[in-house]
Amino acid sequence: MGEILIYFDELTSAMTMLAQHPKTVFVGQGVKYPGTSLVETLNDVPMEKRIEFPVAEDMQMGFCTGLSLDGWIPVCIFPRWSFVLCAAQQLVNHLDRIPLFSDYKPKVIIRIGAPHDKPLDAGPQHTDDFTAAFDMMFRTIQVERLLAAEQIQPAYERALEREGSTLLVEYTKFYSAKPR
Amino acid sequence: MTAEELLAFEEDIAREFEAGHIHAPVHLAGGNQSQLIEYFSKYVQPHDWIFTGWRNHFHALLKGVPSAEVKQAILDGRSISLCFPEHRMFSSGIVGGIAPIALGVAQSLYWRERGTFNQYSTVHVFLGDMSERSGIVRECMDYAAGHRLPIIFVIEDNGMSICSPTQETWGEPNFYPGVHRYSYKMERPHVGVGRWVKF
Repeated sequence: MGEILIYFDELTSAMTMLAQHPKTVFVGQGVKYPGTSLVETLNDVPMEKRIEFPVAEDMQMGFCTGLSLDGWIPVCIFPRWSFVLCAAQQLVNHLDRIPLFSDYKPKVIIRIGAPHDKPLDAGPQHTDDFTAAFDMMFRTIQVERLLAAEQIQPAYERALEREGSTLLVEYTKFYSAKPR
Repeated sequence: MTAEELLAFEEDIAREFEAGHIHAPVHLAGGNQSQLIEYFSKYVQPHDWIFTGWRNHFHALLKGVPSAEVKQAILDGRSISLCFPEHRMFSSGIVGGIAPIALGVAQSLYWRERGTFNQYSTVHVFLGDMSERSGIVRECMDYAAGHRLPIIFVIEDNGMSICSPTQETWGEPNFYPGVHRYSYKMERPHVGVGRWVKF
């Protein structure tokens, strides 16, 4: 019988795998400090690879694009889709379009949480999943929906290997899943 | 390049546009060639990065991109976003959009060159006076100053955004300290050459 994978543990393993690449850096608010459960998946990521960022989503997205133009592989983390709306300009007009209007090849791994309304309902400004809407706007960015623990590690491996950028959506309702 | 050579290049592009050979907007300037020549000769090294907006061909030429290469990119319809990775030049047609990308490159240069004996490379970000007043640019200026990143914001102040006077829209200027600034008067229309062109 195969091993039963746990969603949260797989996210932690994927982050640890990414951290082993010499060019990765982890950028976002709450990557060094508690505040969201997401930070616990970075427990095995060295502190020197984590860039605690101010609340400035559009600047964060552009900053990560700039890092990638100079050879880094940023893992750009947003805990909720609602906040990504503030970064849409950089995400769509720049990161997604740069390969279409230039010979630059930015490669950013974007990690986004799609929150659930249970056990705590944070209301209509915090619980949306805009994956389908952004997928329609993208021309180059690959979108991966992480709907099961088994998908997580292979999806992040693909994100690390492919030439362009990847946006990976995780579903926080699976965070507390336990093996059956 | 000399001011005369820059203007001759622009004249050549204007002729190509009028002849219907460029199937995309072109943004000519005139009026700022001397200021740019002075800035580039004083501050820009070959290994530096430059970021600009859509009025960018003078910057490309002064950064050392061969004029034939710049012209071909414009003929190919890429005037708005001339990019030359081998010359460390990036431009974008979205107001203020270059600022955070430039910031990321500056952060990378800081990490890479800090503690080495190499002279720091610098990122030069050329922005219009309307872009300067935008929120994203102010955020980037704050971050750059706070983290002492090797980046210079150059404000190319022609008092306008497309055809809207910046001061009328934003009110009295509240300039951010520590930026390089020059003023100039546009000698060309915002886009095209001021005459109808049949394509």
